[in-house]
Amino acid sequence: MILLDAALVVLALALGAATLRLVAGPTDADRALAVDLGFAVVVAAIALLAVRLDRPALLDLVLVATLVGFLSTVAFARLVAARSSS
Amino acid sequence: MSVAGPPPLPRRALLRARRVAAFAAAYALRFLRANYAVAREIVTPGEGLAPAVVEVPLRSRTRVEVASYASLVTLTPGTMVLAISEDHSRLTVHGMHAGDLDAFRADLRALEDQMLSAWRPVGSEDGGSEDPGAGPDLRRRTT
Amino acid sequence: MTPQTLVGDVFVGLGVLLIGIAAVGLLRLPDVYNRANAVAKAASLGLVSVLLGVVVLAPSGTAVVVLLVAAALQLFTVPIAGYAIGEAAWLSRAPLVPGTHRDRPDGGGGTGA
Repeated sequence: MILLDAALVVLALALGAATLRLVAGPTDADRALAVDLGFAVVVAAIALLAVRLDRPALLDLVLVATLVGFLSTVAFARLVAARSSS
Repeated sequence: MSVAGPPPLPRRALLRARRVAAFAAAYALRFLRANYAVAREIVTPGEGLAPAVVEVPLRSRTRVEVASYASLVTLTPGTMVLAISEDHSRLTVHGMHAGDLDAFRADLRALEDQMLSAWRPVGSEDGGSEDPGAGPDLRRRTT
Repeated sequence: MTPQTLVGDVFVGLGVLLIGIAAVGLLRLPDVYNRANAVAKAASLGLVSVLLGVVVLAPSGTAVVVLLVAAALQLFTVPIAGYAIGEAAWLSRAPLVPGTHRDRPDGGGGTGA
C-alpha cells in the first residue's frame, strides 16, 4: 500500500512535468507529446487506483482508455501537421 | 499465402514458427536494451546524446511489411520514424544514439532483415532487394 | 508480504519509475524528437509494466483478461501515436538540436518527395 501511494505521488509529479511542457512548448509537436505522456500517466494512475481502492470496475476504464487514447494524440498531431503545411 | 517452396508444408510451418519466435525474442531483447539506454541517457547528467536523422532505403514491399517495420522502429525507444517517402521506398529515421551513422544504418537494416525473414513465407527469401513472391509491388500502386 | 504482492510491487515500481524518468526526460532533453523517444518509452514499457503489475496484484479472472488486452493494445497503438507526432514535428520543421548528424543537410523538414 505504501508503495502504491508513493507510485501515485510519482505519477502526479510526472503529470506536473507534462503540464509544464504543455504550457512551455516551444513547438506544437511538444504540446501533442505532453498530452500523450499525460494520457499514459492517467491510465497508469487509474490502474493503480483500481488496486488501491479495490474497485476492479476501474479496470474497464483502462481498457477503453488504451483503445481510444491514441486517437486524441493522432488527431492533435494531424492538426499540427496540417496547419504547418498550409 | 504460401508461395512455391521445396520443403513440404509441415516442415515449412515449423521453420516459419521458429523464425517468428526467434524474431520475437530478439526484438524483445532489443526493446528492453533500448529502454535501458534511453532511461540511462535521461538520468545521467551531461550530454551523451548523439542524435541523427538518416534516410534508409526500404526493402519491405507490401503495405503490411512497411507498416510493421515502421511500427517496430518507432516502438523501440531511441529510434523514431519521421517520414515515409511517397513511393514507400525510403524511411526517414531519427536516432538518439547514432554517433556512427553507418553503424546506425546497419543496425536498422539488421532489424529489417530479421523482420522480413520472419514475415515472409519460407522459401521466398533470396536476400535480394526485389522479391516478387512477397506480394504486390507498392511502387505500381495506384494512388 | 506474499511473493505475489512482491512480484506485483516490483512490476508496478519499475513501470512507475520508467514513467517518472520519461517525465524528467520530457523536461530535460533538448529537442522535440529526443523528447518523443522518452515519451515512447513511458507509454510502452512503463505503462505495460504497471498493467502487468496490476495483473499480479488483482488477479480476478476478468481483470487479468482485461488488463492483458489493454497491454497488448497499448503496444500496438504507441507506434501509431509516436509516428503521428514525429511526422507532425518533421513536417512543421521543428528545429533539431545543434549537433544532430544529418545525411542530407538540405532536406530539412518535409518529406522530400
